[in-house]
Amino acid sequence: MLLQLNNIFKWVNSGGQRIFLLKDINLEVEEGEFISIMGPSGSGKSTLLNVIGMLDSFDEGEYNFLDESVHTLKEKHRANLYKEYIGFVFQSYHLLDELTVQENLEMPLIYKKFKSSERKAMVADMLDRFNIVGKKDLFPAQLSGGQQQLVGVARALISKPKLILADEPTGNLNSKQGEEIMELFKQLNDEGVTIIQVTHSEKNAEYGSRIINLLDGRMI
Amino acid sequence: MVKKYLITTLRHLQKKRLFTTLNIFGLAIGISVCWVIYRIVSYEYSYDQNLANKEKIHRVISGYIFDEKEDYNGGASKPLYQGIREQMGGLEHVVPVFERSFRNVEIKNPSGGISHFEEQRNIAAIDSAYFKMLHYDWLAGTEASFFENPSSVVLTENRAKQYFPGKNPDEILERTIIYYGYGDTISRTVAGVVANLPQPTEFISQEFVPLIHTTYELYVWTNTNGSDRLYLQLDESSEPALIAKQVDDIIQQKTKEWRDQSENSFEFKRWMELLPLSESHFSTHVREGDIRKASKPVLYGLMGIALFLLLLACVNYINMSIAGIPQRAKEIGVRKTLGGNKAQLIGQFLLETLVTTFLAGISSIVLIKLLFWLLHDIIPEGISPFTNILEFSLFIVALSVLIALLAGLYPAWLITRVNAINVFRNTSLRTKNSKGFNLQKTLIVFQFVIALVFITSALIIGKQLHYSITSDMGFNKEAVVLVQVPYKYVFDDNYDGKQFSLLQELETLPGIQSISMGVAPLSEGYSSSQYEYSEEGQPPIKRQVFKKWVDTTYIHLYGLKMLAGRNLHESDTPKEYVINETAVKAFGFDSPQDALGKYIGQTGEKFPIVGVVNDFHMQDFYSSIDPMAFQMEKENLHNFNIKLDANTAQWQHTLAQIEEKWYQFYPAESFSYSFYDESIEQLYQQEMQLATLVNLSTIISIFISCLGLFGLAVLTAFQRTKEIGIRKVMGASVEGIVRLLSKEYVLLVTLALVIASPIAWFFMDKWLEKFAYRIQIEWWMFLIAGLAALAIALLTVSSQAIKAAIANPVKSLRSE
Repeated sequence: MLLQLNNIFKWVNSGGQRIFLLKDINLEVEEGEFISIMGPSGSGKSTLLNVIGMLDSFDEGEYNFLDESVHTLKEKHRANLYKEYIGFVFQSYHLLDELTVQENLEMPLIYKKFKSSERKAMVADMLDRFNIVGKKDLFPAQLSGGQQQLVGVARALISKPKLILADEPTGNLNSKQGEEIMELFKQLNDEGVTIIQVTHSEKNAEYGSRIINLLDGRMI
Repeated sequence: MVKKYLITTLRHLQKKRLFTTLNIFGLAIGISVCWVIYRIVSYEYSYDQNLANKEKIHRVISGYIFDEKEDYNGGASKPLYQGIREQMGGLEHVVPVFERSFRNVEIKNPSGGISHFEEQRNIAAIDSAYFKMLHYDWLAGTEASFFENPSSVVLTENRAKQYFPGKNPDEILERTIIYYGYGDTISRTVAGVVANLPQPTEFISQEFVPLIHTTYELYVWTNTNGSDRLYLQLDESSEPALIAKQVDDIIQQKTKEWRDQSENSFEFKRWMELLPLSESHFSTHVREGDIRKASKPVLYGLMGIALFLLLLACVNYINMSIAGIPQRAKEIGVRKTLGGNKAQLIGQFLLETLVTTFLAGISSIVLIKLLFWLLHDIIPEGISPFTNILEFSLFIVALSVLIALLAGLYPAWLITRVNAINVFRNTSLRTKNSKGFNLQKTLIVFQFVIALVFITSALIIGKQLHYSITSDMGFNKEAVVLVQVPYKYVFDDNYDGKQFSLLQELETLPGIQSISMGVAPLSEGYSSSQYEYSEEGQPPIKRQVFKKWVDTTYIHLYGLKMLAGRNLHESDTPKEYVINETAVKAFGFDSPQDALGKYIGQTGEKFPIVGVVNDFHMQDFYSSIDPMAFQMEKENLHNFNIKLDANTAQWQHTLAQIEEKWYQFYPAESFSYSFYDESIEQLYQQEMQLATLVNLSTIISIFISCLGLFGLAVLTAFQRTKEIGIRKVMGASVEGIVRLLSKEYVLLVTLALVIASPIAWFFMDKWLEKFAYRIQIEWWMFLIAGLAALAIALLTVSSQAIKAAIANPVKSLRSE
């Protein structure tokens, strides 16, 4: 088992009232799964994804990731954990504007303290695999949306994570580009990478092996 | 429409409270410094500006060459005015002003009491030409009655108030004043009271007495005294250079006559020059005790400081405005889409700048008062922070408009270049060259260059001052207290020889190690004369030698080392010399031993050298050590050098006892003492003032630069929120982010250091050049300045960097 959420609650206090963002979430994810989280706006999809990605905290419950109990870990350990095992893909790509494609791919490796030679090899490998060798010296603004997201996925994958978290990865793309990205996800999943995506689109959700529906912070 | 704009502007400024405050504060500092310096500079340039004929008035000054050194004296030989009147044309007025002082002035009150006024100065002998050149309002009496009676006196209003408090000018007429000089006593009747000249002026005489026409002997033509001043008012058509030549010719002629007549071989070269009245206040090269002067280089330096600090403040504003543009992009985009044109956008931004500057101008009032208080040592007396509210308002308005244009135009232009479509597309506003060197960074470097030049200068000036005050002077000044018999008693027969009785009394006191009479080794006053040494068959060697009158304990008290020969013997009349090493070399003796027994001195007054002491500093560190000779003559000893016991706890008690003894011989109020090491610090007052000024400028420039840097750091952190978020999600640590954000500033400060170091080195090298004894400028001084600037810069930006680094990336990456 990759991760397990037990009775997770998350709330904010507003004007004396407690507003629940997540309510009693119980979820087990096995390695190799492809999960789609669906639900209307404001239902807590992104919050759940951020909790799983350890970017956001929760107020109650237990979270175990690869036998480590995340809720008891210190910030630093938690950061090490997600640095090593989790890759993120965003709706608006979040590439760094002033870095080239190649430098964008290299960035996470620098933070993970890979040696320069290793980094080069890994970046070359990834450029090759995603067929973007010719674009390696371009800046994000010089690429189309689909290509930018391709780089985004490549960046998420470069440090060989066990889990990829994608927040509406196709939200800013046209249907053809979206389809290509989803195909890519499917292929990655077949290779053994666990994927959790947030999506609005029924069609994209179909790519997954399991769909979780959220409404007002509760799983239905 | 304008009202609308104004309201939006105020709302906007209020919304951006932090930046508005930083901007106002930075600009207020710049404005305050400008105003204070404007006040000082305009005061110095206002000397005698009210005189109608000021362009035509010139002073005659005397130039000398002494020992191959050029020197100027503000006076002219007394008889010169007569020679000019007899021989020259082309002059409207020839105006002698011969000033003198009196040790005591007495006024008998009708009620019976007597008022005393000690050490009265600025009493001038003049003739009718003076009142023709300068217009005085006569409050009582007439000019005619004044010149009729040779023993009359005219007082200025100020002096009349001092002598006759509470009396009207008319009531003072015919009153008698008795003047006690140094050896003479004169009784005078008040013949008039005149209003003071408009201030500030260099005509500072407060009492006028008629100048009696005297026929001078020929030798008087060769004497020059700084208190005998001579003014010429030229004709409309006269050429100053030509007049100067004629005046000089008279002096050269008379000097030649005198030379032919006398057998004195004393060599010196003297010439006369004309100094325009407008330059007189700035003539720092002319030695004058009584008149306050201003140095033009210092004024230029002050103006430079004002300009640079104002520029720094403007740079701040520009920087923060540019950095703020991305935050305002949406507003600008909306305005553009809704039809705002370029002119309107620029106008709006300029208005914003103008309002900010104006607010800064108002808040500067407080800062100006603070600056006046901080700089009270440096600001000349007679300048107050504000005298004319209209002048101040005009200054603020003019400066505000200037700053608004200087600081507002470029950001305003940038605003108009914001592309509305891009704003809505949410593409980043940072242009592709943001990795390169843009204007903002250039400006930050500029600010830090200025700050670093100040820091380095402050360091070096401080070091030189410390060196001047604490380094080995060649004599031991520890625990020495100086007490001087006031000048007025020196010439008073009633006190003749009393100092030696006092000396005997003091020697019995416990807590005193030893006492010596004599002029302290390093003192402000000194006298030097030309000595010669002649060897058989050789032309005589002539050297300017400093003479110090000392007694027999002096050398021991100051721990001077005898290099050869013996100490002076007790003597009532001069009969032998002890000289210093430099004098040994100056007269060409092979060694101290060789000098012993040789006769030196002025013509006809030669005495043998009996001893040689080590060199010690007789003047401040600007001057190199000159040849010096000690001589003993009892009647010339008026200064007590008292060496106290090492036990500092007893000092106050000992001093009190000395004071008690003093009262037995001299009037109570005349006792004053100073510790020698403190009085040496006094020598460097001007340098200390410079240090204060540079230190303050350093603080201000650092402060302004930091304001700018802080603002920039806040905005950068804001602009890079997204980037920081991404990096964090990709695994960057907090330290990593802080380092990333700070690295840029480290580079900027380093670059500034590289640029600032040679500039600071150049100026400081020039400044140090004037010192004969000076410190070396070392590389580590620049390093320390750099590290200090770096530390300050990092402290400023780190809070923002840390704040950005620990922020939760979830918030910054939430999809737009």
